[in-house]
Amino acid sequence: MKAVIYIIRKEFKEFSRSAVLLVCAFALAFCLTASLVISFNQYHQLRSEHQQAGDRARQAWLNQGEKGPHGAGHTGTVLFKPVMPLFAVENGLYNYTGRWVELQTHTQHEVGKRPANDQTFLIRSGVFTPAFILQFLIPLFIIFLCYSAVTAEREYGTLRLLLSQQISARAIFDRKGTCRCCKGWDHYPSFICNPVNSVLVDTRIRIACVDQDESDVSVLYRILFNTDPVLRYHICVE
Amino acid sequence: MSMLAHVFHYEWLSLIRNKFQIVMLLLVFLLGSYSLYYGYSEIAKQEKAIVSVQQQDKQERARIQQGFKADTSTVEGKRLWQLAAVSRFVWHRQFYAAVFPPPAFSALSLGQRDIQPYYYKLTAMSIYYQLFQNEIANPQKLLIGNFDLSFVFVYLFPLLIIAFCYSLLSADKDRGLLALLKSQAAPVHHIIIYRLLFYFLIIFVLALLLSSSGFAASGIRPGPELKNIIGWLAVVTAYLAFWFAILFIIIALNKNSAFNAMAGIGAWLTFLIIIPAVLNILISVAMPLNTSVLSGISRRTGVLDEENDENQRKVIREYLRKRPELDFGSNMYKSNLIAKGHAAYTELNDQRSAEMVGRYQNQVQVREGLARRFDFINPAVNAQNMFDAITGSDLQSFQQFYRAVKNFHAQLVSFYYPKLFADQDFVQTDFNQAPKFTFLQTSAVRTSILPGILWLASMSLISFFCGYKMLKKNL
Repeated sequence: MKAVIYIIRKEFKEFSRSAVLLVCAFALAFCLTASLVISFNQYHQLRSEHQQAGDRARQAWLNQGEKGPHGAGHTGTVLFKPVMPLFAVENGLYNYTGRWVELQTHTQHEVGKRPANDQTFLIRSGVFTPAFILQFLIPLFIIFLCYSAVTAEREYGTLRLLLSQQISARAIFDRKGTCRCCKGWDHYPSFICNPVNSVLVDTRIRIACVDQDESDVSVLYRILFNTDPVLRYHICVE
Repeated sequence: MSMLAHVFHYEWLSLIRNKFQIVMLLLVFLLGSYSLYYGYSEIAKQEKAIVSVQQQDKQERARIQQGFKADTSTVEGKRLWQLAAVSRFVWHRQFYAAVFPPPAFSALSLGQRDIQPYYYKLTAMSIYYQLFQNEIANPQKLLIGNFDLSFVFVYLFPLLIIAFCYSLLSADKDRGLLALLKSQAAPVHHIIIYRLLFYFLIIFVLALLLSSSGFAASGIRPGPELKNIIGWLAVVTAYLAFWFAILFIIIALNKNSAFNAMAGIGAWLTFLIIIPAVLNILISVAMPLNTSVLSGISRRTGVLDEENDENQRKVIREYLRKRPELDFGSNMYKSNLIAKGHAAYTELNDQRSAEMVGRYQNQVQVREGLARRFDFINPAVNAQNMFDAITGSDLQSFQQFYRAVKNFHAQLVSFYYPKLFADQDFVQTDFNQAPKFTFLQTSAVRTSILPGILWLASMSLISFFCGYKMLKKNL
């Protein structure tokens, strides 16, 4: 358990002393908050627009005066697609579906105005919602955060130091240790055990491994270096 | 000069011996070829629809001509004649095709073609009943967008550039070759520039190959379309140059390969995804467009209690105050009141809506203008807009089309309304004067792409200059 605290402390210190990472983290937090606020406002605005326009249509229908059924059928009405609360997180197909359908006799209307109809290519390259940030910015940040977790240790020459921490060379290459580690990983969520994701969340794996067994650090590096097919197989199976 | 030849020679050798790079080039070439196929198949669908609409238009004209020759002593013949000649029927029944045929280039960049209506079957009845109709489309497909050649250039080519160039300097450093390079006669930053130039040429040739296959397949001849061809190639060159300049800056930071790859991908995400998305949200916050104001105007609303003649007369009188030339005296308030009342009502309704629609369309214009003002930090969307402008598939081209459709509708009104209000029937020769829809799309190359290209070129130059300074400092 002590090792976990050490590693967390070390990583946190490195993180808080890197201006670039801090700026990135603040920018990300800012983007997430801003997009939430903006998206939420847009949701409310859209809802009230639909509400008002829907009310207007209803009033027009009710107050259309005396008419023959033919005239009234042509007057018809308009139905708005309801806006769901989760619109504030993700717009889905909103920009491409059309917002309303007009109803009248004899004529079958297509959907009215897709918001994308009146916009340039800008709208087609993405809409800045919280979901967008989760999809694009946070993975980017994770990559930035973690791509050098192992290579940096190697470049600074601390990798060997790390490997020498209470770990025998035999333990490193001990297949039994490998299997034990994989079994120990049963307690961890599957995304950590997925070798592709493991590169992205490797800091966490480091913690996880050290927590389990001292030889796990070495195993981890072998996962990250992708040197051990048997181990990779085990992890995939797990 | 010999150094340049020398670098090119060895870079070429290393390129053709590197299977990975060859496979990547081939892959992008295949994707580019597929994108051409995709563009052509989409355009072919639209052309088919347009041919069908024009066919219907021809049949309609033929039907009208036959109506005048019909034997009016039979029930069927009389009906045919009525639908050709009697003004109270024909003003809202006879339709005319108004189409926006895809210009020669459009398969290369589909732009807004998938989301905008490109044909109408217009009658003289209210323009707004007809103008805002959408074509049936799968919204999921619209969201994903088009895999056309411009997409390959705008989205995939930068990735290719990143893959080819990210380790130009760092790989040498990692392998310990940098010290050797430094000891050569030519300065290292020159060698880096030569190598970038080499890859620029390779990738430009690939782009040229794909573009010219596209031109050849659309039957574009250099004669009439020379301006467009030059414009297209200029945008391609400027956009590729921009990405090479960005890579030059990344290389000039003189970090390791992993960092360069990350920075390259980061730049790609920033320019292609993040900046457009952020700009989009900022613009929609600054200038919200309330489309719901248009929601009520596509329906055929009518005169209150249309069976009551006095109501019809009131509407007709109101309309004639605005169009005194259609006033043919008191006799016109006696017969065909429902038709006249409805014709007057739709026109009055259009005039009432016109202001609101005009305001809305003005907002669209202003908003687009605002978006264009950020082109200088938004190179990808800028390039895409220029491709769309060249191929006549951008928002502006379609707005021109709508204006042409509106003008044509006004001509239809002038053609049908006088006979309707004068209670006259049409005769065969009247249709010689029937309006014809023509839409000569003014190609955007002359106006709007020059500033965009200048922006891209100046951004490339500035980035290149910064990169050069940094490289000299960092080496």
